[in-house]
Amino acid sequence: MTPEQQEIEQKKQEIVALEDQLADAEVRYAAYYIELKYFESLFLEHISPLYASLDRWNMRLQSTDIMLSKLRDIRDQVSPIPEDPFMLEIECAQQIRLRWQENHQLPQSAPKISTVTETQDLYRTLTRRFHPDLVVEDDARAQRTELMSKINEAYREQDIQALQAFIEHPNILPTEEEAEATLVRLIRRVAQLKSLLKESQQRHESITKSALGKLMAKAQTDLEEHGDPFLSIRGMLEERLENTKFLWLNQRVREAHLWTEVDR
Amino acid sequence: MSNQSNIQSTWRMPFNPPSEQAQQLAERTIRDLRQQQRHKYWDVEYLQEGIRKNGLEAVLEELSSAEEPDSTELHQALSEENDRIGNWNQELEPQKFLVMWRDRAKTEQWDDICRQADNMLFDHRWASLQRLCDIKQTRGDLGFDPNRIGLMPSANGKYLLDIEQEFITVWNPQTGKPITSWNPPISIRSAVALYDDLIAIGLQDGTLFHWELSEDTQYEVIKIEGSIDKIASKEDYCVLCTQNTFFLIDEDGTLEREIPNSFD
Repeated sequence: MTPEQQEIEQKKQEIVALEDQLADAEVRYAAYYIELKYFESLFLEHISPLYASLDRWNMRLQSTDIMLSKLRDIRDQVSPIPEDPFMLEIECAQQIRLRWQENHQLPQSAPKISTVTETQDLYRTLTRRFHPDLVVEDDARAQRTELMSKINEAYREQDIQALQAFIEHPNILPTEEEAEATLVRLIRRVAQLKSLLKESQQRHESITKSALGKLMAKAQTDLEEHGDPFLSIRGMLEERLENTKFLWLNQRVREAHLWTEVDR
Repeated sequence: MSNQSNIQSTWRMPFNPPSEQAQQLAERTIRDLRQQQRHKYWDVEYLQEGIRKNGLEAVLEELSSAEEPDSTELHQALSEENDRIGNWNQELEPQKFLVMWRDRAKTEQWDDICRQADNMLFDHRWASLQRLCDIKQTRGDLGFDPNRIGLMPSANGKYLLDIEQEFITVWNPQTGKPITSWNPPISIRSAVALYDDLIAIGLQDGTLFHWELSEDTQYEVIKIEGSIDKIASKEDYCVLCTQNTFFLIDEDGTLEREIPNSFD
Protein backbone atom coordinates (compact mmCIF):
# COMPACT_ATOMS: atom_id res chain seq x y z
CA MET A 1 0.00 0.00 0.00
CA THR A 2 1.43 3.36 -1.03
CA PRO A 3 1.75 6.16 1.52
CA GLU A 4 -1.04 8.03 -0.31
CA GLN A 5 -3.35 5.03 -0.06
CA GLN A 6 -2.50 4.70 3.63
CA GLU A 7 -3.41 8.33 4.19
CA ILE A 8 -6.66 7.84 2.27
CA GLU A 9 -7.51 4.89 4.53
CA GLN A 10 -6.75 6.99 7.63
CA LYS A 11 -8.95 9.79 6.38
CA LYS A 12 -11.76 7.35 5.66
CA GLN A 13 -11.53 6.00 9.21
CA GLU A 14 -11.48 9.54 10.60
CA ILE A 15 -14.58 10.35 8.58
CA VAL A 16 -16.40 7.30 9.95
CA ALA A 17 -15.49 8.28 13.50
CA LEU A 18 -16.53 11.91 12.96
CA GLU A 19 -19.83 10.85 11.40
CA ASP A 20 -20.50 8.69 14.45
CA GLN A 21 -19.73 11.59 16.80
CA LEU A 22 -21.92 13.92 14.78
CA ALA A 23 -24.76 11.42 14.80
CA ASP A 24 -24.46 11.04 18.59
CA ALA A 25 -24.33 14.82 19.12
CA GLU A 26 -27.35 15.39 16.91
CA VAL A 27 -29.34 12.63 18.61
CA ARG A 28 -28.50 14.07 22.04
CA TYR A 29 -29.49 17.52 20.88
CA ALA A 30 -32.73 16.23 19.34
CA ALA A 31 -33.63 14.36 22.55
CA TYR A 32 -32.94 17.43 24.69
CA TYR A 33 -34.82 19.64 22.26
CA ILE A 34 -37.92 17.44 22.39
CA GLU A 35 -37.75 17.38 26.17
CA LEU A 36 -37.42 21.18 26.28
CA LYS A 37 -40.31 21.68 23.89
CA TYR A 38 -42.48 19.49 26.10
CA PHE A 39 -41.35 21.42 29.17
CA GLU A 40 -42.11 24.69 27.37
CA SER A 41 -45.70 23.63 26.75
CA LEU A 42 -46.13 22.48 30.37
CA PHE A 43 -44.52 25.66 31.70
CA LEU A 44 -46.78 27.90 29.65
CA GLU A 45 -49.83 25.86 30.59
CA HIS A 46 -49.20 25.85 34.36
CA ILE A 47 -47.24 28.99 35.09
CA SER A 48 -48.38 31.67 32.65
CA PRO A 49 -51.94 31.85 34.13
CA LEU A 50 -50.42 32.57 37.54
CA TYR A 51 -48.24 35.31 36.07
CA ALA A 52 -51.23 36.74 34.22
CA SER A 53 -53.12 36.93 37.49
CA LEU A 54 -50.12 38.48 39.26
CA ASP A 55 -49.84 41.10 36.50
CA ARG A 56 -53.48 42.04 36.88
CA TRP A 57 -53.07 42.51 40.64
CA ASN A 58 -49.87 44.46 40.09
CA MET A 59 -51.73 46.78 37.76
CA ARG A 60 -54.39 47.37 40.40
CA LEU A 61 -51.66 48.04 42.91
CA GLN A 62 -49.89 50.48 40.62
CA SER A 63 -53.15 52.26 39.91
CA THR A 64 -53.62 52.76 43.66
CA ASP A 65 -50.00 53.94 43.92
CA ILE A 66 -50.71 56.64 41.34
CA MET A 67 -53.84 57.66 43.22
CA LEU A 68 -51.90 57.89 46.50
CA SER A 69 -49.27 60.03 44.87
CA LYS A 70 -51.91 62.40 43.47
CA LEU A 71 -53.67 62.61 46.84
CA ARG A 72 -50.38 63.41 48.57
CA ASP A 73 -49.87 66.27 46.12
CA ILE A 74 -53.31 67.58 46.99
CA ARG A 75 -52.65 67.20 50.71
CA ASP A 76 -49.32 69.01 50.42
CA GLN A 77 -51.05 71.68 48.31
CA VAL A 78 -48.89 70.96 45.28
CA SER A 79 -52.03 70.50 43.23
CA PRO A 80 -55.64 71.53 43.88
CA ILE A 81 -58.44 69.14 44.64
CA PRO A 82 -60.37 68.55 41.41
CA GLU A 83 -63.95 69.73 41.29
CA ASP A 84 -65.03 66.61 39.46
CA PRO A 85 -64.92 63.85 42.10
CA PHE A 86 -64.26 61.19 39.46
CA MET A 87 -61.45 63.04 37.71
CA LEU A 88 -58.67 61.45 39.74
CA GLU A 89 -60.01 57.94 39.26
CA ILE A 90 -60.28 58.52 35.51
CA GLU A 91 -56.73 59.90 35.29
CA CYS A 92 -55.32 56.96 37.23
CA ALA A 93 -57.23 54.46 35.12
CA GLN A 94 -55.99 56.11 31.90
CA GLN A 95 -52.38 56.12 33.05
CA ILE A 96 -52.46 52.51 34.10
CA ARG A 97 -54.27 51.49 30.92
CA LEU A 98 -51.53 53.04 28.82
CA ARG A 99 -48.89 51.23 30.86
CA TRP A 100 -50.79 47.97 30.48
CA GLN A 101 -51.03 48.44 26.72
CA GLU A 102 -47.31 49.19 26.50
CA ASN A 103 -46.45 46.06 28.46
CA HIS A 104 -48.86 43.81 26.65
CA GLN A 105 -48.46 45.18 23.14
CA LEU A 106 -48.30 42.57 20.45
CA PRO A 107 -45.15 42.64 18.32
CA GLN A 108 -45.46 45.19 15.53
CA SER A 109 -43.61 43.14 12.98
CA ALA A 110 -45.38 40.22 11.41
CA PRO A 111 -44.37 36.88 12.85
CA LYS A 112 -41.62 35.19 10.95
CA ILE A 113 -42.96 32.53 8.68
CA SER A 114 -40.53 30.03 7.34
CA THR A 115 -40.01 30.67 3.66
CA VAL A 116 -38.26 27.40 3.06
CA THR A 117 -40.57 25.45 0.81
CA GLU A 118 -40.41 21.83 -0.14
CA THR A 119 -39.07 22.85 -3.57
CA GLN A 120 -36.19 24.71 -1.98
CA ASP A 121 -35.40 21.76 0.27
CA LEU A 122 -35.29 19.47 -2.69
CA TYR A 123 -33.17 21.86 -4.70
CA ARG A 124 -30.66 22.16 -1.86
CA THR A 125 -30.46 18.40 -1.44
CA LEU A 126 -29.82 17.99 -5.14
CA THR A 127 -27.22 20.72 -5.18
CA ARG A 128 -25.36 19.14 -2.33
CA ARG A 129 -25.34 15.86 -4.20
CA PHE A 130 -24.73 16.84 -7.82
CA HIS A 131 -22.85 20.13 -7.76
CA PRO A 132 -19.91 20.00 -10.25
CA ASP A 133 -17.51 21.60 -7.80
CA LEU A 134 -17.75 18.60 -5.52
CA VAL A 135 -15.63 16.49 -7.89
CA VAL A 136 -12.33 17.16 -9.57
CA GLU A 137 -12.41 14.63 -12.37
CA ASP A 138 -13.30 16.23 -15.75
CA ASP A 139 -15.82 13.65 -16.97
CA ALA A 140 -17.70 13.63 -13.72
CA ARG A 141 -17.67 17.46 -13.64
CA ALA A 142 -19.08 17.61 -17.19
CA GLN A 143 -21.85 15.11 -16.37
CA ARG A 144 -22.71 16.98 -13.19
CA THR A 145 -22.74 20.36 -14.97
CA GLU A 146 -25.23 19.01 -17.48
CA LEU A 147 -27.41 17.49 -14.77
CA MET A 148 -27.28 20.63 -12.64
CA SER A 149 -28.46 22.78 -15.56
CA LYS A 150 -31.54 20.52 -15.78
CA ILE A 151 -32.07 20.74 -12.04
CA ASN A 152 -31.76 24.54 -12.18
CA GLU A 153 -34.34 24.70 -14.92
CA ALA A 154 -36.77 22.50 -12.96
CA TYR A 155 -36.25 24.74 -9.93
CA ARG A 156 -36.87 27.87 -11.98
CA GLU A 157 -40.13 26.33 -13.15
CA GLN A 158 -40.89 25.27 -9.55
CA ASP A 159 -41.50 21.80 -10.95
CA ILE A 160 -41.51 19.73 -7.80
CA GLN A 161 -42.17 16.44 -9.60
CA ALA A 162 -39.16 16.92 -11.86
CA LEU A 163 -37.00 17.77 -8.85
CA GLN A 164 -38.22 14.68 -7.01
CA ALA A 165 -37.28 12.61 -10.06
CA PHE A 166 -33.70 13.85 -9.85
CA ILE A 167 -33.48 12.48 -6.28
CA GLU A 168 -33.66 9.00 -7.82
CA HIS A 169 -30.78 9.81 -10.18
CA PRO A 170 -27.68 7.78 -9.34
CA ASN A 171 -24.82 9.79 -7.99
CA ILE A 172 -22.17 10.84 -10.46
CA LEU A 173 -18.77 9.95 -9.10
CA PRO A 174 -15.39 9.93 -10.85
CA THR A 175 -14.80 6.65 -12.64
CA GLU A 176 -11.27 6.37 -11.56
CA GLU A 177 -10.50 9.10 -9.21
CA GLU A 178 -6.86 9.88 -8.85
CA ALA A 179 -5.40 9.27 -5.42
CA GLU A 180 -4.56 12.95 -5.00
CA ALA A 181 -8.07 14.06 -5.92
CA THR A 182 -9.57 11.49 -3.55
CA LEU A 183 -7.39 12.74 -0.73
CA VAL A 184 -8.47 16.35 -1.36
CA ARG A 185 -12.12 15.28 -1.31
CA LEU A 186 -11.66 13.36 1.94
CA ILE A 187 -9.79 16.20 3.63
CA ARG A 188 -12.65 18.55 2.68
CA ARG A 189 -15.14 16.11 4.12
CA VAL A 190 -13.21 15.86 7.40
CA ALA A 191 -13.15 19.65 7.71
CA GLN A 192 -16.87 19.80 6.93
CA LEU A 193 -17.71 17.14 9.53
CA LYS A 194 -15.62 18.87 12.20
CA SER A 195 -17.37 22.13 11.49
CA LEU A 196 -20.80 20.44 11.70
CA LEU A 197 -19.85 18.74 14.96
CA LYS A 198 -18.71 22.02 16.53
CA GLU A 199 -21.87 23.74 15.36
CA SER A 200 -24.03 21.00 16.88
CA GLN A 201 -22.21 21.16 20.23
CA GLN A 202 -22.53 24.96 20.36
CA ARG A 203 -26.22 24.73 19.56
CA HIS A 204 -26.72 22.22 22.38
CA GLU A 205 -24.77 24.30 24.86
CA SER A 206 -26.67 27.45 23.93
CA ILE A 207 -30.09 25.83 24.42
CA THR A 208 -29.02 24.23 27.73
CA LYS A 209 -27.84 27.57 29.09
CA SER A 210 -30.98 29.43 27.99
CA ALA A 211 -33.42 30.61 30.69
CA LEU A 212 -35.87 27.88 29.76
CA GLY A 213 -33.09 25.28 29.89
CA LYS A 214 -32.03 26.41 33.38
CA LEU A 215 -35.61 26.37 34.56
CA MET A 216 -36.09 22.87 33.18
CA ALA A 217 -33.09 21.70 35.21
CA LYS A 218 -34.70 23.19 38.34
CA ALA A 219 -38.04 21.61 37.49
CA GLN A 220 -36.27 18.29 37.06
CA THR A 221 -34.85 18.57 40.60
CA ASP A 222 -38.28 19.43 42.00
CA LEU A 223 -39.79 16.49 40.15
CA GLU A 224 -37.22 14.09 41.55
CA GLU A 225 -37.45 15.44 45.11
CA HIS A 226 -41.14 16.28 45.45
CA GLY A 227 -42.88 14.67 42.48
CA ASP A 228 -44.03 18.05 41.15
CA PRO A 229 -41.87 19.90 38.61
CA PHE A 230 -43.42 23.29 39.37
CA LEU A 231 -43.65 23.01 43.14
CA SER A 232 -41.23 25.80 44.04
CA ILE A 233 -42.22 28.09 41.15
CA ARG A 234 -45.92 27.72 41.90
CA GLY A 235 -45.30 28.18 45.62
CA MET A 236 -43.30 31.35 44.99
CA LEU A 237 -45.96 32.77 42.67
CA GLU A 238 -48.86 31.95 44.95
CA GLU A 239 -47.07 33.67 47.82
CA ARG A 240 -46.39 36.73 45.67
CA LEU A 241 -49.99 36.79 44.56
CA GLU A 242 -51.25 36.72 48.14
CA ASN A 243 -48.76 39.43 49.17
CA THR A 244 -49.78 41.63 46.26
CA LYS A 245 -53.48 41.27 47.08
CA PHE A 246 -52.81 42.11 50.73
CA LEU A 247 -50.64 45.05 49.76
CA TRP A 248 -53.30 46.36 47.39
CA LEU A 249 -55.91 46.09 50.13
CA ASN A 250 -53.71 48.11 52.48
CA GLN A 251 -53.05 50.70 49.78
CA ARG A 252 -56.78 51.12 49.34
CA VAL A 253 -57.11 51.74 53.07
CA ARG A 254 -54.33 54.35 52.86
CA GLU A 255 -56.12 55.90 49.92
CA ALA A 256 -59.29 56.14 52.01
CA HIS A 257 -57.32 57.76 54.85
CA LEU A 258 -55.89 60.33 52.48
CA TRP A 259 -59.31 61.12 51.06
CA THR A 260 -60.60 61.90 54.54
CA GLU A 261 -57.60 64.19 55.04
CA VAL A 262 -57.77 66.12 51.77
CA ASP A 263 -61.53 66.41 51.32
CA ARG A 264 -62.86 67.44 54.69
CA MET B 1 -38.29 8.89 -2.18
CA SER B 2 -35.37 6.60 -1.51
CA ASN B 3 -34.26 5.50 1.91
CA GLN B 4 -31.23 7.71 1.59
CA SER B 5 -33.31 10.82 1.01
CA ASN B 6 -35.52 9.91 3.98
CA ILE B 7 -32.49 9.67 6.20
CA GLN B 8 -31.29 12.99 4.89
CA SER B 9 -34.60 14.68 5.52
CA THR B 10 -34.51 13.47 9.13
CA TRP B 11 -31.08 14.98 9.58
CA ARG B 12 -32.20 18.24 8.05
CA MET B 13 -35.32 18.63 10.19
CA PRO B 14 -35.46 22.28 11.31
CA PHE B 15 -35.27 22.91 15.06
CA ASN B 16 -37.11 26.07 15.99
CA PRO B 17 -35.92 27.74 19.18
CA PRO B 18 -38.35 27.95 22.14
CA SER B 19 -40.89 30.73 21.75
CA GLU B 20 -39.86 34.23 22.79
CA GLN B 21 -42.82 34.37 25.18
CA ALA B 22 -41.65 31.23 26.98
CA GLN B 23 -38.05 32.47 27.17
CA GLN B 24 -39.12 35.84 28.60
CA LEU B 25 -41.38 34.18 31.13
CA ALA B 26 -38.58 31.79 32.09
CA GLU B 27 -36.18 34.71 32.59
CA ARG B 28 -38.76 36.46 34.77
CA THR B 29 -39.32 33.30 36.80
CA ILE B 30 -35.59 32.89 37.42
CA ARG B 31 -35.39 36.54 38.56
CA ASP B 32 -38.37 36.09 40.88
CA LEU B 33 -37.02 32.86 42.37
CA ARG B 34 -33.73 34.63 43.06
CA GLN B 35 -35.55 37.55 44.66
CA GLN B 36 -37.42 35.17 46.92
CA GLN B 37 -34.15 33.78 48.28
CA ARG B 38 -32.77 37.20 49.22
CA HIS B 39 -31.78 38.14 52.76
CA LYS B 40 -34.56 39.13 55.14
CA TYR B 41 -33.03 42.62 55.41
CA TRP B 42 -34.37 43.36 51.96
CA ASP B 43 -37.62 43.71 53.87
CA VAL B 44 -37.63 47.28 55.23
CA GLU B 45 -39.50 46.32 58.40
CA TYR B 46 -36.89 43.66 59.23
CA LEU B 47 -34.10 46.06 58.42
CA GLN B 48 -35.47 48.86 60.56
CA GLU B 49 -36.08 46.47 63.44
CA GLY B 50 -32.58 45.00 63.05
CA ILE B 51 -30.98 48.45 63.17
CA ARG B 52 -33.14 49.49 66.12
CA LYS B 53 -32.33 46.38 68.14
CA ASN B 54 -28.71 45.64 67.19
CA GLY B 55 -27.43 48.78 65.50
CA LEU B 56 -26.33 49.35 61.95
CA GLU B 57 -22.82 48.00 62.47
CA ALA B 58 -24.20 44.60 63.51
CA VAL B 59 -26.55 44.56 60.55
CA LEU B 60 -23.68 45.36 58.19
CA GLU B 61 -21.56 42.61 59.69
CA GLU B 62 -24.38 40.11 59.30
CA LEU B 63 -24.85 41.13 55.68
CA SER B 64 -21.14 40.96 54.87
CA SER B 65 -21.10 37.23 55.59
CA ALA B 66 -24.57 36.50 54.18
CA GLU B 67 -24.72 33.99 51.35
CA GLU B 68 -28.14 34.91 50.05
CA PRO B 69 -28.28 36.45 46.56
CA ASP B 70 -27.93 40.25 46.23
CA SER B 71 -26.63 40.62 49.81
CA THR B 72 -23.51 42.42 48.56
CA GLU B 73 -25.65 45.00 46.80
CA LEU B 74 -27.64 45.68 49.96
CA HIS B 75 -24.49 45.75 52.08
CA GLN B 76 -22.90 48.32 49.79
CA ALA B 77 -25.94 50.60 49.79
CA LEU B 78 -26.23 50.45 53.58
CA SER B 79 -22.50 51.04 54.06
CA GLU B 80 -22.70 54.16 51.94
CA GLU B 81 -25.52 55.48 54.11
CA ASN B 82 -23.73 54.49 57.30
CA ASP B 83 -22.15 57.88 58.03
CA ARG B 84 -25.43 59.65 57.79
CA ILE B 85 -27.24 57.15 59.99
CA GLY B 86 -24.42 57.06 62.53
CA ASN B 87 -25.04 60.64 63.57
CA TRP B 88 -28.64 60.10 64.38
CA ASN B 89 -30.24 59.23 67.61
CA GLN B 90 -32.43 56.36 66.49
CA GLU B 91 -34.76 56.66 69.43
CA LEU B 92 -35.53 60.27 68.77
CA GLU B 93 -35.54 60.18 65.00
CA PRO B 94 -36.90 56.76 64.08
CA GLN B 95 -38.44 57.93 60.82
CA LYS B 96 -35.31 59.55 59.46
CA PHE B 97 -33.94 56.14 58.53
CA LEU B 98 -37.10 55.37 56.59
CA VAL B 99 -36.88 58.65 54.68
CA MET B 100 -33.23 58.07 53.89
CA TRP B 101 -33.79 54.46 52.85
CA ARG B 102 -36.80 55.36 50.71
CA ASP B 103 -34.74 57.96 48.84
CA ARG B 104 -31.90 55.50 48.40
CA ALA B 105 -34.31 52.85 47.08
CA LYS B 106 -35.66 55.40 44.61
CA THR B 107 -32.15 56.07 43.34
CA GLU B 108 -31.43 52.35 43.05
CA GLN B 109 -34.82 51.79 41.37
CA TRP B 110 -35.85 49.25 44.00
CA ASP B 111 -39.53 49.97 43.53
CA ASP B 112 -40.80 47.48 46.11
CA ILE B 113 -38.46 48.79 48.81
CA CYS B 114 -39.39 52.37 47.98
CA ARG B 115 -43.09 51.59 48.23
CA GLN B 116 -42.66 49.71 51.50
CA ALA B 117 -40.70 52.55 53.13
CA ASP B 118 -43.22 55.07 51.83
CA ASN B 119 -46.10 53.05 53.24
CA MET B 120 -44.42 52.73 56.61
CA LEU B 121 -43.92 56.49 56.73
CA PHE B 122 -47.53 56.99 55.80
CA ASP B 123 -48.70 54.60 58.51
CA HIS B 124 -46.55 56.32 61.13
CA ARG B 125 -47.98 59.68 60.15
CA TRP B 126 -51.52 58.38 60.16
CA ALA B 127 -51.04 56.77 63.58
CA SER B 128 -49.76 60.11 64.93
CA LEU B 129 -52.78 61.89 63.51
CA GLN B 130 -55.04 59.31 65.07
CA ARG B 131 -53.40 59.79 68.44
CA LEU B 132 -53.83 63.54 68.18
CA CYS B 133 -57.43 62.95 67.25
CA ASP B 134 -57.89 60.80 70.34
CA ILE B 135 -56.33 63.53 72.46
CA LYS B 136 -58.73 66.03 70.96
CA GLN B 137 -61.70 63.80 71.66
CA THR B 138 -60.82 63.58 75.35
CA ARG B 139 -60.99 67.37 75.49
CA GLY B 140 -64.75 67.42 75.07
CA ASP B 141 -67.40 66.91 72.50
CA LEU B 142 -66.71 70.15 70.66
CA GLY B 143 -64.07 69.92 68.01
CA PHE B 144 -62.87 73.49 68.65
CA ASP B 145 -61.90 74.76 72.06
CA PRO B 146 -61.51 78.59 72.24
CA ASN B 147 -59.40 78.28 75.39
CA ARG B 148 -56.84 76.13 73.67
CA ILE B 149 -53.44 77.72 72.96
CA GLY B 150 -52.00 74.77 71.11
CA LEU B 151 -50.02 71.57 71.00
CA MET B 152 -46.27 71.61 71.48
CA PRO B 153 -43.63 68.89 71.75
CA SER B 154 -40.78 69.11 74.28
CA ALA B 155 -37.32 69.76 72.80
CA ASN B 156 -36.28 66.14 73.25
CA GLY B 157 -39.47 64.89 71.61
CA LYS B 158 -40.46 62.71 74.52
CA TYR B 159 -43.48 64.73 75.61
CA LEU B 160 -46.40 66.39 73.93
CA LEU B 161 -48.05 69.34 75.70
CA ASP B 162 -51.64 70.32 75.19
CA ILE B 163 -51.81 73.90 76.41
CA GLU B 164 -54.99 75.67 77.35
CA GLN B 165 -55.40 79.02 79.04
CA GLU B 166 -55.89 77.53 82.46
CA PHE B 167 -54.50 74.03 82.17
CA ILE B 168 -51.64 72.07 80.64
CA THR B 169 -51.77 68.31 79.97
CA VAL B 170 -48.62 66.37 79.16
CA TRP B 171 -49.01 63.35 76.88
CA ASN B 172 -46.78 60.51 75.87
CA PRO B 173 -46.75 60.75 72.07
CA GLN B 174 -45.75 57.08 71.71
CA THR B 175 -48.72 55.73 73.64
CA GLY B 176 -51.16 58.63 73.38
CA LYS B 177 -51.74 58.48 77.14
CA PRO B 178 -51.61 61.44 79.56
CA ILE B 179 -48.61 61.57 81.91
CA THR B 180 -49.23 64.61 84.10
CA SER B 181 -50.92 68.00 84.19
CA TRP B 182 -50.54 71.44 85.77
CA ASN B 183 -52.98 74.13 86.68
CA PRO B 184 -51.08 77.46 86.90
CA PRO B 185 -52.25 80.18 89.33
CA ILE B 186 -52.93 82.70 86.51
CA SER B 187 -54.01 82.31 82.88
CA ILE B 188 -51.33 81.19 80.48
CA ARG B 189 -50.41 83.54 77.62
CA SER B 190 -47.58 81.66 75.90
CA ALA B 191 -45.20 78.75 76.25
CA VAL B 192 -42.01 77.53 74.58
CA ALA B 193 -39.88 74.36 74.75
CA LEU B 194 -36.39 75.47 75.84
CA TYR B 195 -34.13 72.42 75.77
CA ASP B 196 -34.26 68.81 76.78
CA ASP B 197 -37.47 68.49 78.85
CA LEU B 198 -37.56 72.11 80.08
CA ILE B 199 -40.60 74.24 79.24
CA ALA B 200 -40.97 78.02 79.76
CA ILE B 201 -44.49 79.24 80.48
CA GLY B 202 -45.47 82.91 80.44
CA LEU B 203 -48.50 83.98 82.45
CA GLN B 204 -50.88 86.88 82.10
CA ASP B 205 -49.52 88.64 85.20
CA GLY B 206 -45.92 88.62 83.84
CA THR B 207 -44.68 85.61 85.78
CA LEU B 208 -42.34 83.24 83.94
CA PHE B 209 -42.41 79.65 85.09
CA HIS B 210 -40.03 76.84 84.23
CA TRP B 211 -41.37 73.27 84.19
CA GLU B 212 -39.00 70.29 84.24
CA LEU B 213 -41.17 67.58 82.82
CA SER B 214 -39.11 64.55 83.82
CA GLU B 215 -39.10 65.75 87.45
CA ASP B 216 -42.60 67.19 87.15
CA THR B 217 -41.54 70.35 89.04
CA GLN B 218 -42.57 73.90 88.25
CA TYR B 219 -40.86 76.96 89.69
CA GLU B 220 -41.11 80.72 89.22
CA VAL B 221 -38.14 82.23 87.38
CA ILE B 222 -38.94 85.93 87.15
CA LYS B 223 -41.83 88.34 87.24
CA ILE B 224 -41.93 91.26 84.84
CA GLU B 225 -44.38 94.06 84.28
CA GLY B 226 -47.21 93.27 81.89
CA SER B 227 -48.59 90.14 80.35
CA ILE B 228 -46.07 87.82 78.64
CA ASP B 229 -47.58 87.65 75.16
CA LYS B 230 -44.67 85.84 73.45
CA ILE B 231 -41.55 83.99 74.49
CA ALA B 232 -38.57 83.40 72.21
CA SER B 233 -35.43 81.51 73.19
CA LYS B 234 -31.97 80.96 71.77
CA GLU B 235 -29.14 79.11 73.46
CA ASP B 236 -28.89 80.45 77.04
CA TYR B 237 -31.13 83.48 76.56
CA CYS B 238 -34.82 84.03 76.52
CA VAL B 239 -36.81 87.05 75.29
CA LEU B 240 -40.14 87.83 76.89
CA CYS B 241 -42.40 90.14 74.91
CA THR B 242 -45.06 92.27 76.48
CA GLN B 243 -47.15 94.89 74.78
CA ASN B 244 -44.59 97.68 75.48
CA THR B 245 -41.26 96.04 76.26
CA PHE B 246 -38.86 93.22 75.37
CA PHE B 247 -37.08 91.60 78.34
CA LEU B 248 -33.86 89.70 77.77
CA ILE B 249 -33.18 87.20 80.54
CA ASP B 250 -30.39 84.67 80.94
CA GLU B 251 -30.52 81.01 81.84
CA ASP B 252 -30.77 81.66 85.58
CA GLY B 253 -33.65 84.07 85.14
CA THR B 254 -31.61 87.23 85.68
CA LEU B 255 -32.84 90.25 83.74
CA GLU B 256 -30.06 91.29 81.34
CA ARG B 257 -31.69 93.99 79.25
CA GLU B 258 -34.97 95.79 78.82
CA ILE B 259 -35.82 97.17 75.39
CA PRO B 260 -38.86 99.33 74.72
CA ASN B 261 -41.19 97.93 72.10
CA SER B 262 -41.55 100.64 69.47
CA PHE B 263 -43.70 98.52 67.15
CA ASP B 264 -47.38 99.05 66.95
